[in-house]
Amino acid sequence: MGKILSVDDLRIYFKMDTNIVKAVDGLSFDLDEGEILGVVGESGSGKSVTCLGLMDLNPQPPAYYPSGKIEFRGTNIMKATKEQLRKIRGNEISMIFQDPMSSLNPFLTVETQLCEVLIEHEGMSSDQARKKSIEMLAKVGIPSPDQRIKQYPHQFSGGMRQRVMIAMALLCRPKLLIADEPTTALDVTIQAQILELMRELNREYGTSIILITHDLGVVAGMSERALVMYAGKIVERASTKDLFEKPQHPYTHALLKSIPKLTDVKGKSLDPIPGLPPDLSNLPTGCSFHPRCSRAVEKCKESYPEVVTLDPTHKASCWEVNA
Amino acid sequence: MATPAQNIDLNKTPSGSTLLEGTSLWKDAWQRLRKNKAAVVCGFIVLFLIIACAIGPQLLDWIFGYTFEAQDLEYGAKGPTLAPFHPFGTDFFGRDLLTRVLVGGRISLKVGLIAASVAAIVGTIYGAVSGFFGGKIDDGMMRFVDVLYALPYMFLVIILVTIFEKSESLLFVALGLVGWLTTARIVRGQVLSLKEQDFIQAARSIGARSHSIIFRHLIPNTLGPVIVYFTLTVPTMILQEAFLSFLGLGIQPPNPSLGTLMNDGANQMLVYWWTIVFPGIFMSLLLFSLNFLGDGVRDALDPKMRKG
Repeated sequence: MGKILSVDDLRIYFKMDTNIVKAVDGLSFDLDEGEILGVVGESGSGKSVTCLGLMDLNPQPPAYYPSGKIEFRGTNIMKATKEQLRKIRGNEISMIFQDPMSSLNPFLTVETQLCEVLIEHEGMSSDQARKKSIEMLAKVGIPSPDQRIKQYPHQFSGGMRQRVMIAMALLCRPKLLIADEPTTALDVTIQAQILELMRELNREYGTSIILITHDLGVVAGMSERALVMYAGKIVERASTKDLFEKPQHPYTHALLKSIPKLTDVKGKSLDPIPGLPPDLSNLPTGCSFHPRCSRAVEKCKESYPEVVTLDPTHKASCWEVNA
Repeated sequence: MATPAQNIDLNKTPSGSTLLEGTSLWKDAWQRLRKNKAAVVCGFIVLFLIIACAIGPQLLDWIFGYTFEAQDLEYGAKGPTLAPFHPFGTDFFGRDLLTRVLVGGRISLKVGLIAASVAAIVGTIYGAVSGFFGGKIDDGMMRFVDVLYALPYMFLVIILVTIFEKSESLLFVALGLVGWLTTARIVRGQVLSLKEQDFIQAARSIGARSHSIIFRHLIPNTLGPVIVYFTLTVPTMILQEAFLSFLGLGIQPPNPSLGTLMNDGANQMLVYWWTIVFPGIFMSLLLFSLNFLGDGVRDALDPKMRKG
């Protein structure tokens, strides 16, 4: 299987009045065709900025890219013209947003919004587009789609709107689907359905998926490989199995420990990670995690750890990890 | 009494077929407007006045041979009578005042509607473009608006009137010139907050073009405040027109407008009271109804009034 996306040393900074916010700071990863990649991290670790960056959707200014290369099927996204980008967006890469309640235009019918994609990218007539849109709505499990399509977003429930968003993202059979916390705003039962739907589409069309989430359970169930992000950097990357069974980076450890388990003794308090994620405009010296790390030593304050390769698929950035 | 369970058809959608009809936010607003009694009454009054202005002068011409400029110097100025049919009386030249008020109302309404529409359309597009592109373009476009705002409006109109011939179209230009500025500011403010919303980001992520984002996604979402502002601009424009005509800068005699009629009436009101009372009542009724209708529309479109 070939690579569909390769990101090399991506940096996305935001220029503020007095300082620079380093939202993404030297990110590199590859994605294979048909792969589901999980990206985990706390709020503010740069996950969403990364996925907007992959489609060059961060508003510039204030955002800018000091370095980096995003290569998608032979096209360098960062050097692409507006027209090239427009053809890639929605057609080859599409995105599912976090909040289905605000991601649809309240003044247009679902039909108008779905057909817009097809008319724009595939040059379909509105009749063809409507037919295809109805098929896609049926596929994502909207009952009586031929009537539902005439309705406005406020007549749909949250879960159904997210299905509509997914239908919209998949209309042109994209090669890559970026899902930015697709289930965060939904309740657990709907969450399971939406994830199952994404898995099905991955199997059926071979769509690669980048699944961004702060829910480790979602990653465990969905992806073969996962990245753990902290303060704009990847601190650990591994197969999902390795990540859960032998986490190396103290941050990954802490994340896993903070999940309550069914086997926990009643009355046992949760194990949160102490402190808050760092201010991205004023990062600590050395390893950005050291102020919150239980295993931090002197060296951690001085320099950023090198990447330790435990085996070809498992890498972590920490001074305390030995190969 | 509870419905027996066996009567429920499980294959049917829970709330029947009515659920499946798309109701847009516009339809909702319309339904709320219809429930507002004052607004509905005023809507009918406005409609009645518009129809009266549109066909009234024609009817009076057919039946009685009155036109707004036909004089009857022998008859002169007389108070309201039903025989001969002069319900609003006649003016100094023996012209039927009802005919003149209706023709004047026609001109005033035309000026008000056209000037307000031009202001709404130009202002919306200008504001949306400015807000959408932001940055330097926005700065430039908004400074231009500020400059126009700062110009003394009356001064500008007087200059325009002295340079060009006084005409109806000049009045549209003069009123339109200032009307769109506020609309542009309102729409720009709306667009600035709207463009950060997820659905605009989503529209970009499906590869929509800039003009389609502006015209399909941004502008429809700003139309609520624009419509409200429009309904409140119409009476303002009518008032402005009356003011300009009152000063002798607007509509020129013998053409009547509500402003010139009241100007004439004011000169003679101690002798011929009806020459100011009837145009005054007509204009107050029109402005009052338009304002009430505008208020009703604002309430209907206000998202905070939205229930469920």
